[in-house]
Amino acid sequence: MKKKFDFRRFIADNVVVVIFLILTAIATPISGLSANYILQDIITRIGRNSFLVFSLLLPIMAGMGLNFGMVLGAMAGEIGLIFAVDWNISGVWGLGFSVLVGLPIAIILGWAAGAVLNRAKGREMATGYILGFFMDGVYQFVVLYLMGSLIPMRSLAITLSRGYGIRNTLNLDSVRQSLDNMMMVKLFGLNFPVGTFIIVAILCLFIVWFRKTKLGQDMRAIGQDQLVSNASGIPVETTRIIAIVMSTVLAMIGQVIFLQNMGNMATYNAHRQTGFFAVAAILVGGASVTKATIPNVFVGVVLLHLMYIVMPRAGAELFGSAQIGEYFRDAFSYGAIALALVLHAWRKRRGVEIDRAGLRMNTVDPAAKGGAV
Amino acid sequence: MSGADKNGANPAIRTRRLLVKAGLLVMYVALTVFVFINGRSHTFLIDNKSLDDGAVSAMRRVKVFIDNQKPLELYARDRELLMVRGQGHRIRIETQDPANRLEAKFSVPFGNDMILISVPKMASGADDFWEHFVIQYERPTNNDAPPPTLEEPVPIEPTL
Repeated sequence: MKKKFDFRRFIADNVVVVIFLILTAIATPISGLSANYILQDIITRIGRNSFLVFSLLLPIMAGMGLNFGMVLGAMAGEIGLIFAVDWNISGVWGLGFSVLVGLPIAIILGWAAGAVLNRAKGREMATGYILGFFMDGVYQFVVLYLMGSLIPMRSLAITLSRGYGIRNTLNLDSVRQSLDNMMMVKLFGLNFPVGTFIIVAILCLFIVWFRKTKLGQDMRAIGQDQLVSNASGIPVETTRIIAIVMSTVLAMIGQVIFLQNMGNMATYNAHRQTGFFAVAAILVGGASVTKATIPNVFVGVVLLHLMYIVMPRAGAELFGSAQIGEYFRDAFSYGAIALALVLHAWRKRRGVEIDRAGLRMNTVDPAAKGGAV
Repeated sequence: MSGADKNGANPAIRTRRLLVKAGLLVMYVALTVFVFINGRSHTFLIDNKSLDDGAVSAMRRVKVFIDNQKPLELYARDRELLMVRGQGHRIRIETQDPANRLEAKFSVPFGNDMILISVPKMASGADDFWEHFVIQYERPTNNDAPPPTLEEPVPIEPTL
C-alpha cells in the first residue's frame, strides 16, 4: 500500500530547512543584491566550505553525533600551512605540503579524540566541544611559544618581533586561491572554481563508495545499535575511533581548502568557529544528529551562506545598520543548532514513549515515532 | 589455533600488514620530500648592471627567459624580481650585444631563498653569474620605540 503524503509530518521533519527557506526568501529581495552577485558568492562559498561540512558525515554515520572535535583537524591544517609559508612552498604544492604535514598531526589528534569519546559514550557532542577548547590551549602553546624557540622557524616575516611565536595574522599570498584558480571556468558571467569542485566531487564519490565497504557497513551498524553490533562481532570502539580519525583528517584538508580561498589566516582564531559553522550548515541542510546525507551538505551550505550573504544587507536596508543583520545571522545560526538538538531530544523521547505504549497495548506504529530510533 | 596470534591473524598476515604499513610510511615520507623540494619558491633578482671592477659592462637591452615564465626585458642598470619554483632552473637571453653564452642551467642550493643573477656576467661566460642574496633584517629593539610625548595625556572618557 502506498503511503499517503502527510504535509504536517513533512514540515515537522524539515522544520529547520523550512525556517531558513522562509527567512532567506524574505531577506533576499529586501537586501537588493543582484542575482549575479548572490550566485557568485554562493558558488565561491560552496567550494570554500563544503569539504569542511563533509567531515561531519562519518561520525554521524557511526552514531557519534555532530563532531564538534573537528576543530582538532582544523588546527592540524593550520600548522601545515604555517610550515608551508615558513618554507616558502607556494601554489598547489604548498597546499599539498600543508596536507602532508597536517596528516600525521590530524591522525594523532583524531585517535586521541576518538579514545576520549569512547569513554564518554552518549555525550560525544559535549565532550568533543570541550576537547576542542582544550586542544586550542595546546595549539596556542605550540604556536605562540614553541614555534621559533624549540621548533625552528626560518622566516622572520611570520615570527613575532620577540623572536619566537607566530604573528596574529598570517599572509597566505603564496598559496592564495591556488586551488580555485587552477581550473577557473567562466560561464554565464560567473566564475566556477572547477578544481575545488572536482576535489569535492571526489570526496562525494569516496563517501558513496565507503558506505558500501565493510568498514562503512560496520559504522552504519554501530550507528543503529552499538550493543547489537558488539554482539555480532564488530569492533565497536576501534570503528568509532576510525570514524573520528577520518573526520579529523577530512576537517584538516577542509581547513586548508578554506584558508587558501580566504588568502590569510587568523593564527589563533581561524579554527575556533570552524566546528560551529560546519555543524550549523549540515543541520540547516536537514540533517539530524543521527542521520546525514550528501544532499544535506549542499543544501545546508547554500541555505546558510545565502543567509550570511543577504542578512547584513537586509539589516542595513530595514534598520539602517548592517550590524543588526549580523546579529540576526548569528542568532539564527545558533538557533538552528539549538532547534535541531531540541528536536532530536524530543523525537527520541517521543519514540521511547510510543515504544512503551506499544508494549502495553501490544502494537507499535513506527511511523508515529517521527523517525526516532 | 596454534598459528594465530591474539588478534586472530597468523604470523604471515601480520608480517604482510607490517610490510604494507612500512611501505605506506616510506611512500608518505618520499611524497613529502618530493613536494618539499619541488614546491619551494625562490626569488630571483635579475641584474643588468656593470660589475664594480669593470670586468663586465651592462647590456643596452636584453630579454631574459627563465624556465617557462614570461620574458623580462631589461635595459642597462635595470634590476627585476621574479618568483620561481623548484631547485633546478634554465636561463636564456636574447640580445644584440656581444655575448659568449646565451643559455645556462643551474641549481639553487637547498635553503637559499633569494638569488642574485648577473646577466652580463652570464653572457660573458662566467660560471659564478649567480650568488646567494641575503637581506639583512634587524629586529626592532626598545631603542627604536618613539620617544614619549611631552604633551599632557588626553583623558579618555567612558563611552557607551
